[in-house]
Amino acid sequence: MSDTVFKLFGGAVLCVLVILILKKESPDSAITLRMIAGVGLAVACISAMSPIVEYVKEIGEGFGAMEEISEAVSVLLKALGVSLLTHICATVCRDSGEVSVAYYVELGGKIEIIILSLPLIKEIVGLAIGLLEMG
Amino acid sequence: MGCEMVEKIRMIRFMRCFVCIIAIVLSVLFGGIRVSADEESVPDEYADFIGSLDSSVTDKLPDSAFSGESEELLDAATELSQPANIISLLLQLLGEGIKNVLPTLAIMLGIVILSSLVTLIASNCGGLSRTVECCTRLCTFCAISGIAVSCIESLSLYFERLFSAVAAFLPLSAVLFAMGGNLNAAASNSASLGVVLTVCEFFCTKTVIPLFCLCLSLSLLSVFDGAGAAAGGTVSATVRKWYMTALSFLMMILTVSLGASNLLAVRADSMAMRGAKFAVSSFVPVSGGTLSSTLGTLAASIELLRGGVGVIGIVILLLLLVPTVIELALLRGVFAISGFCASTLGCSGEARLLSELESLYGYLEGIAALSAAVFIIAFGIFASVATPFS
Repeated sequence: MSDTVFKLFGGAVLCVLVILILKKESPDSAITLRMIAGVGLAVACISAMSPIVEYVKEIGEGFGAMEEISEAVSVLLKALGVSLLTHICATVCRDSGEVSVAYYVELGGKIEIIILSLPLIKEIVGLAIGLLEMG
Repeated sequence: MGCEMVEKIRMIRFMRCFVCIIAIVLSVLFGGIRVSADEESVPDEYADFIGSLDSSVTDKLPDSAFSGESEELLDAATELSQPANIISLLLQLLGEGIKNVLPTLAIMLGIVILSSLVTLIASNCGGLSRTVECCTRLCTFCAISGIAVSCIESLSLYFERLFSAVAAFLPLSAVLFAMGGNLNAAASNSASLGVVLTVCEFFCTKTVIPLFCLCLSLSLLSVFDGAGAAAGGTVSATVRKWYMTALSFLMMILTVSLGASNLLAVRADSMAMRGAKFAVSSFVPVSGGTLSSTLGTLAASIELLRGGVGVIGIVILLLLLVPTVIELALLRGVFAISGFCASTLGCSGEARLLSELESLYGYLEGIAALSAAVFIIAFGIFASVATPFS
């Protein structure tokens, strides 16, 4: 196991302990700390994912001349990034008790992913129409 | 009414016998008869037939197959029909096919692994996981459909080559039938093979590619879960089943009509020539017997030549068919392997699309083989028909 996992787990446990202590003494500070801890841990998780993202990029570049596949891989990575960020943001909002804001954040994330997928949808529909016309 | 018909048939037979006797006597008097296979030269139409073929086919034929001498042509036919040569040729084509298809397999597996990786990471994103899954599926489909569409080009090229080869064979078959005295068979074979060619060309070029496009478009519906995918799959399967049934039925009718018309024409020629042969041996003084046996030798040489050309024609059709079928079969295998990997890695949508494509490619293989089978049978009939002199 890499050091990142130990750092992540250690940081998470420490944050939870501090939040538990602060909850009784100063609930407002506990909420702030919870938000900071959430964002920090999320950033740490995303940075730990960088080898995976690099590998996926490498695979995408490996397709070389096949432009449509490289484009698809790039859309895939962007969608993954958007979904993770949206999820983190929505979780922070929920932890802060703002469920409705979390819902809107998720909705915004979904819309963003659909916008990212639009060229692919156009391509598939165009392909289907082209095939039917060719037929 | 019946008596009139019998009289009419007798009259026609008599006229045919008379024309044959006159033709033979004139040819003996003014032209002379070639007596052995060594002296029998290949008609010019053979060069036109070979010239119409693509270099991918002619490269695989031995040099003697291009010769204008009948002996060398027969050597080529013998060489090509050897099981060892056929197996080595098949292995060579298979090797080339595998080499071409391996990059596609790597790409497909890469796409499937990538898609499962992204779905796995996004699976914890609550309500967003389904949106990401849909986006992943779209990306995969875009990539896969590009590979699937590229097959259309090679299939239409195959049909084009097959039909142009058969069209170039038509005059050659007519000349070789006529050389052997099968005048009725020459006319009948040309007419029936021409009809078969026209029907097959019309049916394959006008329907196979549209069917493939329609089924591929329907399989794209599997990008959606539930009713859309199920409906697309069902409609696609039904269309393919009906199409295959119609095509098989049509091919069966064409093959039967081709065989029957040739058989009847050959019998008619045989009947007419028997009379002529009997008349020559009975009524031509002194040399009648010799002339009659010479006709037998001529018949053997023509039969040999026709057998050689027929075998080479069949091998050429196989050389056109086999690479296409191998390519389709290997792509089918690629889709099957990728589908298995997708279903193992939990990408159900991708697995569904790949399974649809696998099934679609199976049908294409069947159509390619069926369209060539009719012509292989036609070439077989051409090679095996006996001349009326023998």
